[in-house]
Amino acid sequence: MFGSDPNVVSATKEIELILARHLGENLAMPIFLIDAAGRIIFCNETADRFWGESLQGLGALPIEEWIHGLRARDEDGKDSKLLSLLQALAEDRPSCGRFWLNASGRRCVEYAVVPLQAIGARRVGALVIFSESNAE
Amino acid sequence: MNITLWGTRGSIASPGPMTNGYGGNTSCVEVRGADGDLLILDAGTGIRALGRALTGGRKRYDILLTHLHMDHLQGLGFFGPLYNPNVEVHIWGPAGAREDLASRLGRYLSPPLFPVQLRDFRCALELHELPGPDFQIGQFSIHANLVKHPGPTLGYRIQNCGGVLAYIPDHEPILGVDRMTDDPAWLSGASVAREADLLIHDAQYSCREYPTRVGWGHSSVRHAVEFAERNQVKHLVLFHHDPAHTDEELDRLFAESLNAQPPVFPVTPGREGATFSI
Repeated sequence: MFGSDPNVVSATKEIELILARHLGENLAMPIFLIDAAGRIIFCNETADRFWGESLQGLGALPIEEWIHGLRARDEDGKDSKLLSLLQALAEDRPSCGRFWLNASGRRCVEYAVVPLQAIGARRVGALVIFSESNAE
Repeated sequence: MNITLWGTRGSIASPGPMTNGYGGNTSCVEVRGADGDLLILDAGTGIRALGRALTGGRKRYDILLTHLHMDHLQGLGFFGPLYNPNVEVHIWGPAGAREDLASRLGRYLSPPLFPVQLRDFRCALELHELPGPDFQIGQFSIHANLVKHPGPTLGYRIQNCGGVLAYIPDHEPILGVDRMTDDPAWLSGASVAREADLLIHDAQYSCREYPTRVGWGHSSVRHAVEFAERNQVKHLVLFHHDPAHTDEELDRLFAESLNAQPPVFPVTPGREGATFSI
């Protein structure tokens, strides 16, 4: 049962985000759900396993901050701020790409950004889907 | 606020001796404010009788559509004031992804499905697309938000003189989850139903029927009760009865569902003609 704080309930997410979360909860691929302000508002259990840590407590962390903590590298081994991912989120357009992590060997991760634009051109957020890549 | 149910049935009208008790007309609810302001929720077949019962020199009518499935729209062309050149009729409802509200309404209100078109109504007709910012009609403060149901579908939260009515006649909050969340931020319909004095909510199925109808956009009686509990609703009205359920079957369904786990708040099965005051 809910508490009676009206401010809590007035923050009920848009239906498109609620539906996207329920989709993510039922998927076997790691997904992040990002709100229109660029914050990570949901990660599914597969994402926890994929990243090797519980992400449930991120508490609406801006994805830019999460990326900063990743220490991602580009193909040439240089620092990557995943600008193409962030730009796709900001511009509400689909995008895909890949990056490398050096923390535990050289691991390549591919991502796809799926923007969620509601009827009436309302921006509600995006799904980010990750997968392991075989690329060296 | 006084509320009258003019149509309580879901999916398709089902008149006849077996359904007289709960009624055979589809969704339509009359809401009267303390000052006489009037709202009409949905335009199912129940709106025809409502239109005939309206008296007096009212100059404005507001019809709030939750969505455009036929059981919520079929009575619209039979609503008398639409043919009165001396009144304004405002229709509020959801736009579609590709078509505006006028085009979507026009799909039904045009030949060969219906002989009269939107442009043929003699009233001053105005259409309003939702959801949008909260709005005011007379003394009613209204919040409309999309809820889980196939196609764009709204729930309405209506406040008048301190009382709150929530109307979510078609809703499947349990879809995609094992149990309803305790977090209102992630519960479809919470912004509409939160602490409402009266919630009129979808309760189309029995617990036995629901598993074979997942994704059809409706709730079981238990789901409706659980949704009301989560939202600390003060009084729940069960609505949108399945057309296949006779009065006898509905009596049995409600008794089984409510006696197994009695809710801590009043639950009233909606009957055509029933009235409620907030």
